[in-house]
Amino acid sequence: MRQLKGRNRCNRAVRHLKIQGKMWLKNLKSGLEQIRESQVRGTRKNFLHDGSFHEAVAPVLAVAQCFCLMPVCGISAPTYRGLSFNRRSWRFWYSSLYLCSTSVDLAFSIRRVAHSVLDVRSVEPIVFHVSILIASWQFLNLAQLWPGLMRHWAAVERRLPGYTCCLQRARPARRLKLVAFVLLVVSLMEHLLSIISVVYYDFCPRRSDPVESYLLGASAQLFEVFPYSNWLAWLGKIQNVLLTFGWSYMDIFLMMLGMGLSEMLARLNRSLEQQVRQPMPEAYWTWSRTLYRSIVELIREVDDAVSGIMLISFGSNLYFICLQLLKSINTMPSSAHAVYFYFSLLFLLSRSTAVLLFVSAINDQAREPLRLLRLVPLKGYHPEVFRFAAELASDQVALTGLKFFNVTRKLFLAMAGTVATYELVLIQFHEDKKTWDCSPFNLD
Amino acid sequence: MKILPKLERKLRRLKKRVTRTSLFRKLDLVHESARKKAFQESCETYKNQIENEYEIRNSLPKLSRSDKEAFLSDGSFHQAVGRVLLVAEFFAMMPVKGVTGKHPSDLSFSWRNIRTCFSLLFIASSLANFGLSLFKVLNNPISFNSIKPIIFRGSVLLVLIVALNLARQWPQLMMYWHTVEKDLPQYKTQLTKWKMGHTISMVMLLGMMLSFAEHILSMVSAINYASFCNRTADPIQNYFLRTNDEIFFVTSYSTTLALWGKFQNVFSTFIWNYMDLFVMIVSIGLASKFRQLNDDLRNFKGMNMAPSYWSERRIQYRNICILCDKMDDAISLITMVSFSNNLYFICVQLLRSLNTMPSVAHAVYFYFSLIFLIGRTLAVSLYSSSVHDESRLTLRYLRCVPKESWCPEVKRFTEEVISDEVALTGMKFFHLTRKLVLSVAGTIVTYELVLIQFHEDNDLWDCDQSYYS
Repeated sequence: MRQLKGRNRCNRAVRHLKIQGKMWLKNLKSGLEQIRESQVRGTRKNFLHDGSFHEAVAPVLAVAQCFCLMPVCGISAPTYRGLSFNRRSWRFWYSSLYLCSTSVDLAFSIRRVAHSVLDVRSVEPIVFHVSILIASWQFLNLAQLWPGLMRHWAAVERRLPGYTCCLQRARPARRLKLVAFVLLVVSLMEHLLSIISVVYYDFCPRRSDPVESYLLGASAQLFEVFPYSNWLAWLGKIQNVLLTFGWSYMDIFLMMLGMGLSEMLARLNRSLEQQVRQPMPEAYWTWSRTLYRSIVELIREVDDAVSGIMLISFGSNLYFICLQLLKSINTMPSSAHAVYFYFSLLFLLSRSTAVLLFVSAINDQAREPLRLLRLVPLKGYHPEVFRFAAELASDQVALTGLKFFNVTRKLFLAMAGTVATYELVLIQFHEDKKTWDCSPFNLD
Repeated sequence: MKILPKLERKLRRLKKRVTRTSLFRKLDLVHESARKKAFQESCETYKNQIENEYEIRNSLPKLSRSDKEAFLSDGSFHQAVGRVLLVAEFFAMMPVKGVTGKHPSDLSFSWRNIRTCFSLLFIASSLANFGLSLFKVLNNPISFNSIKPIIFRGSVLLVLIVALNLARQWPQLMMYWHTVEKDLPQYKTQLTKWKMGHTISMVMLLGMMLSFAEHILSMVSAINYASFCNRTADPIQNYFLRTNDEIFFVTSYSTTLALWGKFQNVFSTFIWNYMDLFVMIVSIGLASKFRQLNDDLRNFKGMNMAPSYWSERRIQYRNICILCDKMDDAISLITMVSFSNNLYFICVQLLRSLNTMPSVAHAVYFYFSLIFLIGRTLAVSLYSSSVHDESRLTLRYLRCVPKESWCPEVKRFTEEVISDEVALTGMKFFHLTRKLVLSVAGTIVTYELVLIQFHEDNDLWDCDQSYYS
């Protein structure tokens, strides 16, 4: 009896094991199939661009999301329809957390500045923090508007004249990605250089370990209140990296928008250029005028959404250029410092110029149809052409900085003049000794 | 020979009898009586109406219980601005009668009114105060800083005189405003009607609260400072000696004079704040009228509308432009004074921010007043530039007119909007647009940088110096 019972138990266990094994195998199989399905070999279709802005800008937004900006869901979706904004998504909480930690960091920086002498240079961390805090807040608001904006954008894009070949269709997206990639890499390089210049040529090490000493210097505003601890130092460093990225990202994002909008106008211009010398029917002009109008409406809508970021970006660039130029008078303590300094100055200058040029390209492209309309022959000169020309002549189409200034090419000279004026005044109050002093060690 | 006329008469009578049958005669009678009745009725209704109106006007009890109607806004500027002007009247500005009335025809100005007398009296007393401070400043070395009381009192005096002049024109202006408003596309909901009045009262309330807080803080800091300098044993006397130093520079201390000085000070501070608020409120009103028109245009954006619609809108737009010009003529001096004053005071305050503060109370007062000043200046510039922004917005809707309904009237409207520069101005020297904000900020920075070079710290928190305005 006992043996029988034992055998029964044995059989039952074996059967149980068998069933379990089968189920496990089945699961494994289905899992493998799922993986295989998702890992299909890319076909030609996957690599073809549909020429939409949504598709082109998706990787740039994805990078931004790694750094807690633009918490909008569904950026990797194939069309704009997948976009959504959800307050309960982790992205939203992630960027809210970032906003909170930036505010805390700002409070510590204000505390630090308030304890030292107040002048143009010492308020640098405050300006830096405040501008990024406001910009991140604006990005959060923009994320809310982004799905609607993209819907409008796609609606306008659909009406535009098509590309002739797929290579041409891919070009704007490729150009956009290239610019964003180059800028991101250069800003990463700048950050690495700043770390190198500080870590290897540390004149007044505050701690024996060079890394710890660097971390202490990087978030000095925290360690004036708290005693040194490693985890806090790393948190401070992460915050610093995020801030530095956010600061560059403002400009990159504006460049992307400028490129996208000017590309739309350029597409219209290309089609106009082909047709303008022949007498076209009136319906063609109605079509092109309403198309131009809808692009301008889109530009206005985008402008309403991003003009705050524009103002902050231009203002902070102006301030930092003044500051860096002022610092350039100082003697550099080492060649590593000099390399970092001139590299970052050059980067700042070229980035500000690039933003201005890319964004003002919208204005240039919007003026272009007027030149083309002057070529319309007498036979094709309809009242619609007259109306189109009158509208073009009187409108100023450009992105603005909170409606205070239009971003056109003329702004470049105005800004250069402003920088020169302030620089000349600031030089008169300048004293050399402060910047490379050990006590207030400035780090950007 | 005599028979002929008789015959004629007979013939005529016969004819009449033939044409006028008894039925006709009856109808005539009925008609006549109906006409009389109708006339009498219309007379009576008219009489009743007049009587009713008279009764309502007379019997409107002073302390009646208000019903819902009393709180419903009709969206007119006159009604929205009523309480604002009432506050101003209390502070001896804008002596117009009937500002809280329902209809702008109730407004009136007369020289013999008690408000006007009060205002004139206050102008005289300000003039005396201004003379005293001029005397004091001229007897001391003059610098950028030391002329602050003259600029303060001088601008307040100027604004008072301009406001008195404005009060004379106010009834006509409001009547014109009323006719323009009546003509505009009407508001659809009570909420939209209520919005402008609400914004105006909120701006007024916030501005008043902040200026009141600033005044209290200034008193605290002055008391603190007075006790620090301590010229006499009496703390109250110390305080008055400090705040009204221009009076006691000439005469010896007396309580009546001190109280007069304090009264003058409170009123001047109010008027100084009020001129900014007034410019803001007028521009909110004008901008909301443009918005009212734009809202209607937005509702019909891209639709095929009849030419009559466009001509109607164009005339309405023109009316608002004329209104804007009229208001601008009336208040441009106030705008000018307000802007130049703000520019000067921001420069002075920024320059003073370099000094070391003698106490915490001073620091709190100083930074509060600096932030308040900058915020107020920014608010004035932004609100007044909103008139220009709203007037340009019309163009956006006109651009979307479809080809089918494009007519000479739309073209004319578009060209008018493009070529006109509709904005409040500072005595026609500058238009108040958003671009002005940047140029004002640039000017402040430039002057500041120059002024800093001539700046010395020592002379500001001295006990002998006046620092208080």
